[in-house]
Amino acid sequence: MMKRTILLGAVLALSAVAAYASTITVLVQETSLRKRPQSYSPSVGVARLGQKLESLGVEAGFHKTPSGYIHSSAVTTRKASLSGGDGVGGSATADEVTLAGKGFNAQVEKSYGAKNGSAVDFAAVNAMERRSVPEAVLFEFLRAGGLMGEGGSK
Amino acid sequence: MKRFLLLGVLAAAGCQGLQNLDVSSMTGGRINSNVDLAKVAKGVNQVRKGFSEISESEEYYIGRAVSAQVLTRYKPLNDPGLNAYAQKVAQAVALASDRPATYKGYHVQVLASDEINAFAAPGGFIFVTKGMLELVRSEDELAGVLAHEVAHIAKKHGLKTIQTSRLTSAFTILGSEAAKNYTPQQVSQLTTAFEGAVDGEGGQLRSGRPQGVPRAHGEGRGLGRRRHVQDPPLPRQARDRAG
Repeated sequence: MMKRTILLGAVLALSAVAAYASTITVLVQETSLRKRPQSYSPSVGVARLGQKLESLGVEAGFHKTPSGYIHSSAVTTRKASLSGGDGVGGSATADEVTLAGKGFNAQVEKSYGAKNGSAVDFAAVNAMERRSVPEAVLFEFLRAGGLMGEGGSK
Repeated sequence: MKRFLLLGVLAAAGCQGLQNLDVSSMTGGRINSNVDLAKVAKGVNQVRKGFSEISESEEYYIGRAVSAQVLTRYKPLNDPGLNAYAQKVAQAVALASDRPATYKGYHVQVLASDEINAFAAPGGFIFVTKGMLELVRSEDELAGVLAHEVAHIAKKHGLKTIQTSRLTSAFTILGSEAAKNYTPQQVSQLTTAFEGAVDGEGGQLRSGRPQGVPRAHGEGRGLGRRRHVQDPPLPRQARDRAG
């Protein structure tokens, strides 16, 4: 009787996961896949723009995928096409605009820059964007400040 | 630092100040007169309804253009150590936010200005003045200031100020032509809509003082300034830590 109950429970649990499993699409250029559903958890991989992953559920704001946890703000759960033309009524959705690199993009920025000349300084913005702190350095900084929770970046 | 992270997030959660600033003096934002707005509006409703439908990549490009304007009004501070330190604190704060990843990440620039100010542009761009860094007395306070700006970005406060009408022509082009290359006329229309969005955003930045910093602190009686004459200002401490 006990065995049967355990078996039934396992089948139900697996069914629930299978029912929830869905495809998510990455909407940022690059983001970490983490070991646990925590921002300070170590990175176990990288997900890139347009990459499709299987979501096995959401825990603490992170989608659980077979490759690691990814923050829900970096993905869309809606179906999105890389070509950017398969949305509602044959029109592009915002997600598809991102994936297709359309809308306000580098081409529009170039036109805007030419029109506004000395009123804009994109070279300074480029220099600003090159500034980034590697995760290992950042985690060491947090650890030194006593901000790593239990388990920390391990 | 933990306490100020929390304080910063709480302060930012209650801040709506940037949405109420006057942008009337800003230029731009005209819709191309060749566009049938009534027809356009109907089509747009099926596709993208407002600021919440501005895509991740478009938010990034709006933020870049707003930042490009900021960096002509303010000179960036050429202090690699201090910029790296501010960047580190901002990234640490952003990790704990509701939006740890933006399209191309969070980036900070210290401005060579004695004004006491900090502001954010959409997509992850944060500016903090040297005057603000001299005012804050600790890393915790700096984290509070930067958390406030991260919260503006995470909550997309800047995008909420863009009038949907300024984006209508862009949305229509995207609705019908998104899979093709843009023609020169479409680029022109998109650029006009882009200008409208960017200029509206730029106007929000002019008075972007965080609400957590009382006016009298740095600009009135000068209590903050007297205090940091006695104590080492943060930039020096920051350089030590950043090394």
